[in-house]
Amino acid sequence: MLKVENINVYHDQIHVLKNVSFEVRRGELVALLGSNGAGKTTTLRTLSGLIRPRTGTIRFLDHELTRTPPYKIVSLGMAHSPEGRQIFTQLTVLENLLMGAYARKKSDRLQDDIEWICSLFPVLKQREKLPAGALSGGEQQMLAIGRALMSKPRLLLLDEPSLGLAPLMVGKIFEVIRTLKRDGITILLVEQNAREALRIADRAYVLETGVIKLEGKADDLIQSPEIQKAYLGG
Amino acid sequence: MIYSAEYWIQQFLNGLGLGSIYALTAIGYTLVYGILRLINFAHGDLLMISAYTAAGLIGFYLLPYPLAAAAALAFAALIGLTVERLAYRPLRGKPEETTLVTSLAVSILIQNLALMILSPQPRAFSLPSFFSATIRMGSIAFPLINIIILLIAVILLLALTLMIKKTKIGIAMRASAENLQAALLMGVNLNSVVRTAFAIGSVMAAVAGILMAGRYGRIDPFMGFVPGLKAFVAAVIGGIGSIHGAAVGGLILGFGEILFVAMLPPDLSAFKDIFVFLALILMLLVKPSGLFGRPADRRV
Amino acid sequence: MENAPAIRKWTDKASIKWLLLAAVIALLTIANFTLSTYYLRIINLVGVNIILVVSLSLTNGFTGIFSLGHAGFMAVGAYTTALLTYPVQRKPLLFPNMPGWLQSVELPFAAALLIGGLLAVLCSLLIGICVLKLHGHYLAVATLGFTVIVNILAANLTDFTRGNSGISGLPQFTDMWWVYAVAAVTIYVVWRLLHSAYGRAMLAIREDDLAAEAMGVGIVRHKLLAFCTGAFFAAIGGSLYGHLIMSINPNMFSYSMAFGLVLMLVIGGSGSIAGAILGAVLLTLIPELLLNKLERGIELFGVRLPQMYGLSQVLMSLALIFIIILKPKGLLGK
Repeated sequence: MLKVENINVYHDQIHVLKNVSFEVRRGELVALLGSNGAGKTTTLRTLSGLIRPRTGTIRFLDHELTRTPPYKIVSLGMAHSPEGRQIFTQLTVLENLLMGAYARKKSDRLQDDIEWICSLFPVLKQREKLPAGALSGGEQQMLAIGRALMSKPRLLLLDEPSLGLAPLMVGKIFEVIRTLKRDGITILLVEQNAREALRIADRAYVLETGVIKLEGKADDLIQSPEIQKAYLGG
Repeated sequence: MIYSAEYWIQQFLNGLGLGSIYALTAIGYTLVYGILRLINFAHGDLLMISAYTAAGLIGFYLLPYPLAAAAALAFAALIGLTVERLAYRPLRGKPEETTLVTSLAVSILIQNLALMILSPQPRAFSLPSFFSATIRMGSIAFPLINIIILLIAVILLLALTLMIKKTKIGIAMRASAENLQAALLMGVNLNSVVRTAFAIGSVMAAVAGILMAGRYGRIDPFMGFVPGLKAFVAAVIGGIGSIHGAAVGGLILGFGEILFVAMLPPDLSAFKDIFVFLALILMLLVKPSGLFGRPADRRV
Repeated sequence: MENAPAIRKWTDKASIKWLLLAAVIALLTIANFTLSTYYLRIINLVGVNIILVVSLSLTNGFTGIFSLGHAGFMAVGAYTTALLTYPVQRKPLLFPNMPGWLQSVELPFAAALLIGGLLAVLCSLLIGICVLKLHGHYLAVATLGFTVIVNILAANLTDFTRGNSGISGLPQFTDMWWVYAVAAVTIYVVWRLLHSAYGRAMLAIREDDLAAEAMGVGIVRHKLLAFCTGAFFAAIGGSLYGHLIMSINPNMFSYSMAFGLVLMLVIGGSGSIAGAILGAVLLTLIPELLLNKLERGIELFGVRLPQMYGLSQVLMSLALIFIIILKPKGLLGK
């Protein structure tokens, strides 16, 4: 579904992503791991069109994304729940969800989808009319994911959904992600929490200072001694 | 210095009228700044463009008043959108100072183009006669015009608030003003949102321009600059990025200016504009985000 | 022996600079004695603008303070020198309500220039402490506000300024020596500042003032230094200007003038002294020699063109917009 080949991304003069290549197949949950500053968020932002790679190609469902404007990429079916959640604090919870559906052509069945999101995250239904800024960290994360789901995406990009959340919340979030995977949604998950991510992923890539250092099946990687030492504290 | 009740009521209405004009213009600044973080210095000149367009159409008996006004609004919106497309869009993403200089340049360009095409002499301008009517309540007579201006402003403001709250593009504008990158991730087409902001702001300013021309009875090529600056000050005082802030800021400035002139001896009234800029500097020092603005996020 | 070629290069470079300087001085001397008053006036105008734009480059270009206040400081200087050098015999006629002590004062030009400059420094210190912590547009509008305030004061403190009619009949003190001597001093001062520790700090502030602050650079102090130095030379430039055209009025020092200076700086190139000079030269000569004539309506190939006041500003604003979009760092920018 998504094939990234040899992209090179620069931030001013700094070479942030160096010849990065990876792919995500339909129905998969692929994890992108790495420590802080490795370039994971930059990768997702490049996929969404917020940053342009200097060289390389990004193919998504037979479309070349590198020269496509961000709003077009969303309408092609790629949704992005960004790092730090970045919900619209001045808008209500409901309005946030509506924004998620912005790119959709037909506004019918919108109510059904809102119901579905609320069944995944009951808390959102309760807080529907509140400004999103009033929600707790975990609730905001749920809103961010729900918002991304509102566009009925083919590919869902999740940037560090567990960051800054209490352990109980982290468990809940990963439960939800697991559910989404079971429902057949293709997911590219960026995470610092390598343990949890590898538990639910099919395959994973490890990014280190802009370069893909490791790749493979999640089960294999969990066993690998390098991963154990670097990311799993083993 | 004891004036009659009639005097104070008239000054109060004066303040409302002037304040409404500033408020309408300020909304244009705030809409654009909220999304693009750009101060459009050329915004004030739309006041002049719309007034001259209306004056020309009416003066040459080309169109009746309502249609002439509508044409003036449409033309102002056209100019506003053209300026956005040609001067500001190529500079998206460039540092603040660049867009600042450009918008100053556009303002001076428009003023001097008007100077070239039209005469520098002020021309008379009058609105249809019912605008200048006076109504009497008991022993007090006051001109209707300020009330009409206020009504128009209130109606437009309500319409805008409704649009911002209920329509898809309105919600998109609010989202974009808060977090542009996140809005882009939702599939918001930045160009559409920017164009909408410019169009609405320009129409508001155009309305203000016609009302202002009617209130003062005359127009000249530079009539937009100082009111435009004051409207910008109003937007800053109210909290740039907040529509209600712009409205409140405009009213505060309008009242302040009228009160200043009313309460001080006549030979000091020319200093009223100084008070406006001192108010600006004061607000910037005390609370840069204005009355209703959110504390600015410094892009670190 | 290894150092010989290096030393030779250095002396070659230095000697070229001296040669250039001598050539300029020679040319100016010749011009002074041969050209008509009209052309001399233009050359002096170029010199005044060099003073103004180079000093502006210190604040706007190198320290990143977007100031529209330069015109205001010009006014401070111009009005101060005008009032201090105006012949005492005619003062009571023109300024009947002026306080006695001022009416009886008539100072030599140099002293008046300095006082004007120092007054501007005082103003800039006060303003600067208030507004220099602002950034970007807010700073620009605050400084524009200062210029507008000075304008309004000049237009309304009629006892001192004769309001909108302005003060005419100023003694013509400005001549080529004054102008170009001050220009040389301005260039030298700005150049020395830039190549000092202060200068490096200013450039750091322009790039990223949070980082600069973290490195221990006293932001406000350095910004004030740039701002006040700029104001000093702006005032002197304003005074020279006033005594060049021998009359001043508030409109000369309005936002239009402020914009005009920024225009010269941006088009010439805001990152270098040479750019500032180029901008000043080009954008004084072109309007004076070409555009103003067009505005007044000239005969071109037998066709009488109409008067088009405003044409010069229109063309210059267009030029600015083009340059910003196509070559944002200006003609000589790096």
